[in-house]
Amino acid sequence: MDEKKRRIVEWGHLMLVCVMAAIMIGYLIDTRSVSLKLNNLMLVQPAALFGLVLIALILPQIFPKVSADDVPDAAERREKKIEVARVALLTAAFGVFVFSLEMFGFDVATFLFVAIALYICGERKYWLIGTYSLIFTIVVVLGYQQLVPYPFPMTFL
Amino acid sequence: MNKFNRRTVLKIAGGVTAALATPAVLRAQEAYPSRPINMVVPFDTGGYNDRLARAFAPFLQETIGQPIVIVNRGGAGAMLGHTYFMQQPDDGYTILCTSAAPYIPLNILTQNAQFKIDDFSMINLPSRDYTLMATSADSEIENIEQVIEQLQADAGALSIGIQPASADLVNVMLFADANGIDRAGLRLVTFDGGGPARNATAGGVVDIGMVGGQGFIPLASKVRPLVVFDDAPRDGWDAPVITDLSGPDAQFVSGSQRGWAVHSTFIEKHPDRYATLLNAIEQTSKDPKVIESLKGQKLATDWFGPDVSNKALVNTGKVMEQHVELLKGT
Amino acid sequence: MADLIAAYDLLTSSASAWIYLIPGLIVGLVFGSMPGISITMAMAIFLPVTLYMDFLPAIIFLTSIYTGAGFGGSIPAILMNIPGTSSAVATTFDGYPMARAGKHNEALGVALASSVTGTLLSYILLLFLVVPVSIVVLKLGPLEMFVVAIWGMSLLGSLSGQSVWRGLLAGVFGILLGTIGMNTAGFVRGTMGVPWLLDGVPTIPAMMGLLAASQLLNLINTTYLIESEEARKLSFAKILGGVKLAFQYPTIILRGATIGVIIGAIPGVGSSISNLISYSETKRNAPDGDTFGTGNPKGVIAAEAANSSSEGGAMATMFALGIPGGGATAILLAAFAMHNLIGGPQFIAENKTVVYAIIFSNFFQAICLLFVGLLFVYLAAAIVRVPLRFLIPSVLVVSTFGAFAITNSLAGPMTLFIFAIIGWAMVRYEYPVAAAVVGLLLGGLLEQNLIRTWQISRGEFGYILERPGAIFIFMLMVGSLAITTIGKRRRLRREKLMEQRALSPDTAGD
Repeated sequence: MDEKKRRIVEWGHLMLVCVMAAIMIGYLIDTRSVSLKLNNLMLVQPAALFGLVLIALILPQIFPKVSADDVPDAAERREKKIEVARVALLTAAFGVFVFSLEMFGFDVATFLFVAIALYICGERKYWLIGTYSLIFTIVVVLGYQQLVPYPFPMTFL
Repeated sequence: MNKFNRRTVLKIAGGVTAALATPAVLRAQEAYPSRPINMVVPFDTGGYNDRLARAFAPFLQETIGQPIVIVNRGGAGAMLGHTYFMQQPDDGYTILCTSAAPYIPLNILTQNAQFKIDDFSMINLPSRDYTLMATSADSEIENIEQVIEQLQADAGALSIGIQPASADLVNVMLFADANGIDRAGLRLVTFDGGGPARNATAGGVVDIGMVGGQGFIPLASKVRPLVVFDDAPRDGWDAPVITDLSGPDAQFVSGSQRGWAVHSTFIEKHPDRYATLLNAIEQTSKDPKVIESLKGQKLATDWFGPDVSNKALVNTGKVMEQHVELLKGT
Repeated sequence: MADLIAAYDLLTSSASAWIYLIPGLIVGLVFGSMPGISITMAMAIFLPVTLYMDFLPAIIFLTSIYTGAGFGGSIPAILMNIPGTSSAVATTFDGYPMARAGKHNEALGVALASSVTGTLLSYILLLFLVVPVSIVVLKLGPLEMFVVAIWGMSLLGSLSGQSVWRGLLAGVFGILLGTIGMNTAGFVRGTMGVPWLLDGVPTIPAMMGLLAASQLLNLINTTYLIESEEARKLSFAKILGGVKLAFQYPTIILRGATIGVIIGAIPGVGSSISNLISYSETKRNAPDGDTFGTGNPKGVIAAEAANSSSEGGAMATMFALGIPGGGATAILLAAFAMHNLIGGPQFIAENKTVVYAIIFSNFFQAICLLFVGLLFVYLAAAIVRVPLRFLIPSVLVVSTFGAFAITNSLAGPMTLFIFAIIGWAMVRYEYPVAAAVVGLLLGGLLEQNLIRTWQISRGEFGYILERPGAIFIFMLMVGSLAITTIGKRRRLRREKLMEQRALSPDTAGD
């Protein structure tokens, strides 16, 4: 048992909590700016304040004391970083897909996203990427067009 | 299943026809309509407008000779659907089925909509709702005089079920003014839709309810009507109308006015197409077969025509504008 | 009795009407299992077709779609953690962990059996409860609804996981997001000028993002949904094993069905809250409650029994009062109207034969669903054999299409994306996503009814005494909480005692 303990910062956790706090504060300010009537504030104000109190209580957990043994070594950390990077890459691709749907049409955007995401996820056979993306796009697009009672924006299909 | 496939076939066929007719010069001369027409419904599936559109469309497409595609664009009190409609080309291939009143004026007055009432032109608004003040069938309140008496003594004596930002709310206030009742003291209980407000009225959760009257018809045996906010009796309610109660110039707004509309610019750009569409809708609305089918589903088909419909909408818009502060939260 | 015989005659009057039953169930299953396609949408699409049918086939067809779609939503909930409808939320809590652990066959079997039994039970209850339920439904005021919403919220406590603070924060965050938009009194908050936020955050895309898309993004570092190749098999025997397993817990099913019928009868709330309450009650009452959320089949049973029986509850409201409890029953009423049966409180009195006929045909549908569902589930389970590198992009796309279908605008996909990121971060730092989902679902309900209670009572506390119903529900909730807490404490004490006895040296020689 090593008694040497160190404080570390969970940066991602800190960011998450900050985002939540920002949303709650922003929401509370916006709500109060609309009207100060009870009909407007009755739930939002106490809930937001309670949420902020909870964040204050959680804050210490973001800077945990860990014994030196538990701090991951460089190799482990690099591996973790690569894992997160892959998730981030896929998330970015998904974001581009979502925001390009109306620009490219659902058909083209879907085809491109499936192809790129397959590559990110580790598929390297290009012929398989091409065929799968094409067939999947056609099936999904035609399927949803049949099922949903209004049109989807499309370029080709 | 058959119907479904036919729709798809028609859709594909329509698409092909449209693709073949690409040259602009040709398109200008072709007969209208030469491809499927989109009917925008600014509400989700299952509501009155959606049911109206879906019930009317099969007959209209027979008259007009092209399939009608219903496009639901619900959300934000029809704001999203109306904005979407305005963004579509004004070529007669996109028409609108909506609760023009109160939603078009509401979008403009309370939601900073980018359009004006004049940007829409009504073809026909067959469904014209009205506010009904009612109480539960086993309530102690027998008639409107009792309501007025109690509210004059204490404006908060009775809880009133209502939708916020609605024609009904304007009517409550006008009613209070006319009878010397303190507006600020009213005990308003706000509901998110007509349905919940009616249920609360029928169940005696609120003392009285002020909601669109047509929706009350299925619950007729559970409620006691108190006043009809219109100038003539409606739907057989056994209650005075507001013009009898407060005199012939009683102030009130009419309720939802639902039906068909197009872009105003469409009429100037394509008068011939407009005539075709107008004629088709009129003919379909008056077809006995259609009337029977829609009546069975409790949907309106009465033909009022563009003049009457537009005038009614503009009037409602004006009255609502006078009471705009009421529509921004209670 | 005469009515029952007449109902039998009506049902047997035309054998050809029954050929619509299986297609209806299949249509329902397909629509229901596609993320983002609601039961209402499925029924709205097929409503015009029934215009040309006779009354009996039309109603059999539409109610079969209703029944099929009610179960269909559980399939993506179990296999992909996608709650395609808000009534399948609690199913994901244990269904998905079961699937990840290689118990996908059992999970689907359990869900199917609980759904079928739930439906059957709910219609049996319906036979007796139509009239009382209808009286109660209209009398339900905001205070009662508020207490019901709080009951649903009590689930938050048990979802907390490691850190109570983090669990509560997730819940409060969800509640706040659930109140964005125009509130019941007409005030518009937190929309940042985005028009589609007026109706609030689109719930289903947000839940799909929090629960499903966040998971999918994280799975990129895994090759298969189920790690062990051995476990990835499709097995009819195991699905049947799941079916059998469900029947070993009749109390859970019965409790779920009762909660489902009663809460399902409340217009507009129905199944989206009943599955949460049933889940939380079962979790608290189970001796192994701590393993809920990690793949305990009892959780799936509780959720499925309640959400499928809510169908019966919604039907009760429709029959008894002629008012729709939701979109699906609104469509059914429209179908009745097409055949000149007009809704309203007199509906059941005037059409007893029809009502009994529909109830009986639903018995039959539930039984058929068991067989059709077995086949369907077997096919659907094949999804676990697809390598994740194909599954991840495909399911992300399907979720996006579903999100678009719900909102018919980019609002859905954008919400999905944003909540996927939030959900991913929450999971990474051990915040219970489920708590945020529950908050999001119930936040609006909580606020509306709190405000309405205040409006009606004018802030006077004495109003509570005028609402015996609310007091009754409240006592029921407190009683149930107290009994389970005492029971749990007793159990823990007993276990501790046993442990001590086993460890202490003086008893070791016994």
